[in-house]
Amino acid sequence: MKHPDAELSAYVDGVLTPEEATWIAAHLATCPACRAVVEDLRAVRSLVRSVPEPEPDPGALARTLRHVEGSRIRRRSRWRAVWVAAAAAALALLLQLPWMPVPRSDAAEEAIQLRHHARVTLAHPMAEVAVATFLSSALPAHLAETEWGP
Amino acid sequence: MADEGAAILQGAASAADAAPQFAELLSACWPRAYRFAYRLTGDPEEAEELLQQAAEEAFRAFGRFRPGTRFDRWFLRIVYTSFLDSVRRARRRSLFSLDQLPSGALVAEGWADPETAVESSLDGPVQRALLALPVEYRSAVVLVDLLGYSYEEAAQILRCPVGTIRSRLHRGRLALREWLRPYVDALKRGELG
Repeated sequence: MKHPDAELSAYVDGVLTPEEATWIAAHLATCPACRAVVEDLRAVRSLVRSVPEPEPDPGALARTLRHVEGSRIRRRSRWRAVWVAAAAAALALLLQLPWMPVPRSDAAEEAIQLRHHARVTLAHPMAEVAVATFLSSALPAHLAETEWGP
Repeated sequence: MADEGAAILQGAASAADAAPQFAELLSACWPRAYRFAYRLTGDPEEAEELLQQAAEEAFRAFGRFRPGTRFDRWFLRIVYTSFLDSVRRARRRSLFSLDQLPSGALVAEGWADPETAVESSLDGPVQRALLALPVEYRSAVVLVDLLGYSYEEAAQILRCPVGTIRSRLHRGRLALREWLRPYVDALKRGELG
């Protein structure tokens, strides 16, 4: 014989469908074990229902509403701070753009340096003497003794 | 009480049009919400803390509350999920089986003699037995047996099928029967209230 399970609680609460209720009633008529469970369930339900209802502290609701309001203000302030910081960062970025250096390659930088160096060197008053001295030591003798001039 | 609550939220929150309405709805279901929170936690201070946390979340989600639906069920749902979160954080959850019922000593502390017990003294043993139940069973028993919700309403609050409520309620009552056996027997003999 199949014994009902959770249907017994539903039977005690009177929430079974008519078909289920008929089946349980027929079963209980022949099953003392399930009848005892039903009696126990009724007793448990009565015990639980008999406990006094706890009353909330009179100030608890007001404290809770203050807590809600406090958290709402904190949340709003937090968001405001985030927005201000983000706006400030965006503004700073925008203002600095025209002054930002244009990236240069290393080769371009070297060419500029060399050109500058050459210009300074050739402008020196002793530059021609230095070139003549260098050439006289570096060139073959028959060429070095040649008169160079306009 | 409702007016007092509305005034508190309205005073500092001119931008929040929802605040007075929220305060009014919360005030209307406050005693019921408190009983639910108290029976879940077993402690007045923890119950208030739980309600504060739940109210904060509920107000944040108040835009999603559909007018015309029952605020008490919507709020109790948030109380329940907040409680589950706190339980998980505290790692107090444990697997439960009716085959592994704790011994009678679990709720025997401060156990009154059922033959001389007066009705009000049942609160301690019943509350201890409720707290010994797993949260899912405890919430079903509290909602249906203590707060008088129907199976369908309890299923809405706990977001589970009605059949699950039926099963949890039954298993919860069977566990309570074992833990409250002296009182159950005394009641059946007509020796209690």
